[in-house]
Amino acid sequence: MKKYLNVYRALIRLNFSALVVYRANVINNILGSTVWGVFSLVSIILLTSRTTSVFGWTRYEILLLSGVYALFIGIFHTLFSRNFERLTYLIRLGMLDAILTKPLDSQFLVSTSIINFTSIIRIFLGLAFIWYVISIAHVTVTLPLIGLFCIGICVGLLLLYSVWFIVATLIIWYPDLSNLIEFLYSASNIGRYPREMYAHVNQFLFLFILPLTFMVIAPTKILLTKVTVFDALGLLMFAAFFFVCSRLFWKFALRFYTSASS
Amino acid sequence: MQYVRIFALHFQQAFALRSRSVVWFLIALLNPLTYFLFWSGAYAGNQALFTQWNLSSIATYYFLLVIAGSLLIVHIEEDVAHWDIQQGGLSRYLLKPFSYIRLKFFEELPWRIIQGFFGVIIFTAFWIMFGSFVSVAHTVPAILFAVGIALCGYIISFLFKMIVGLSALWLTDYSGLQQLVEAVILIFAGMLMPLEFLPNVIRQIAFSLPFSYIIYFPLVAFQGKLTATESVRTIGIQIVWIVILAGIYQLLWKKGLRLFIGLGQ
Repeated sequence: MKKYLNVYRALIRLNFSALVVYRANVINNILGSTVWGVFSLVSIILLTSRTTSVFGWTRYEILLLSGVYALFIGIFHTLFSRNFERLTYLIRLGMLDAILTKPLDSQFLVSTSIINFTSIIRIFLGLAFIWYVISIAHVTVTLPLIGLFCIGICVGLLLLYSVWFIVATLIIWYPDLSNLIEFLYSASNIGRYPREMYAHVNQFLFLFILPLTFMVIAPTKILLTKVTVFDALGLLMFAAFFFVCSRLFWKFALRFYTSASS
Repeated sequence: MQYVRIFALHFQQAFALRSRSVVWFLIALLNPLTYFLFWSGAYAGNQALFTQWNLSSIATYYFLLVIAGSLLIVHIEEDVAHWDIQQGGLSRYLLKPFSYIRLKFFEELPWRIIQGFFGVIIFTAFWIMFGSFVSVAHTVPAILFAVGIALCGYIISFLFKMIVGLSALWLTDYSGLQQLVEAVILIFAGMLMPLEFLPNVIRQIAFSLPFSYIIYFPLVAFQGKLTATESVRTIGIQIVWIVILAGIYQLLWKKGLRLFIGLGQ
């Protein structure tokens, strides 16, 4: 464990150096993160501008859900998403060998090598928006609630990470489908709407969507003191199940990695 | 004839990579369906707030958006900015006896047709399942006007994205601009919601920008919501936008080409 913490510390240092060196790139990334962070919040303000409640959620509850989503996805993009983009070309160009031969867990290395500091801006946008909604909706937030909320966010991140990892692993068989990662960016948005909304779609599709509806809704309901056993257990069980699946699937998929590139 | 051959070659390539097109199409499918589900809930308790729109017209709008998002939103900017300008690939185009913009037009068109075709399949399935629920233009003049508006919308989209791509001649990294453009298009083209649902000020801004003429107007035209006069007026404004964007493109091409060094960045 200590070895991995040391490696991660080194990775943080390296990523920070890269951040300082490529300034034009950083400015563009900051612009990109700000644009999508603001868009995600503005879009929900616009979507709810004509209504006071949707699927049993009040307008403020939906705005809070969006704020939590902005915070959540900001953390995810900072820590993980760029690594999945990198994984696609590592596989496509047959460069995964360099990682597989290192004396570290390959899943750890492919998932954590890139830290996108510029996405931190989305975390701040999310926090500011949560604070704004909480203050205008007069939601009482206590310290134990914040603690539980943080735990919920961490478990939600594990769930989303595992789902992304399972889908990204498919690229070992289909190296041309590097745009699956773009699809994941869009699919993650499922989490920022009420779960009840998806109950109207085909039941088979709903089963696929269901796990993603827990990752942000459960922490939001913790803040609203409306969390149910179903939300809490659902989040925990899906996160644990998908994480185990992602480990097993990665190990299985590596047997088919030919290193020959596409 | 030579451009037909170029189109056919690129169509072959796009068809060979059809699984990628399926994934791109799924991305274009996901957002409209999510927004429709959201509006179906919003509409359920607040019908009075939706003047001139009902659940049927909202559903038709978003299902047509699945086609429009795949067919009319051009994605040539990355090709131009990254591969041609930043990687230096533009040199090989400059050596050929063809117009660069026409080549790019015929390179992009097959991708739009294939992805648009998936959209048509989804819309047709929706139409077969919920025939009475779908409200589209059913007179020949209205359909012809809608096709004309969609064609003009495609040209506006193409010219605008070519301009975004050319910005890489001045910018070291154009990705920030590209993402800003994507978000602006989502809101002001009517991809988030029909423009009537937007607050007044934002709606006025949307109508004064070219983006609403790429998605929103073709969609409402296909829904039969535009009269003949409104359709002619829309096509007139679209032609003005095409002339303006073509002028900007020409200007940027002439000025920017002097900055191109062909070595990559």
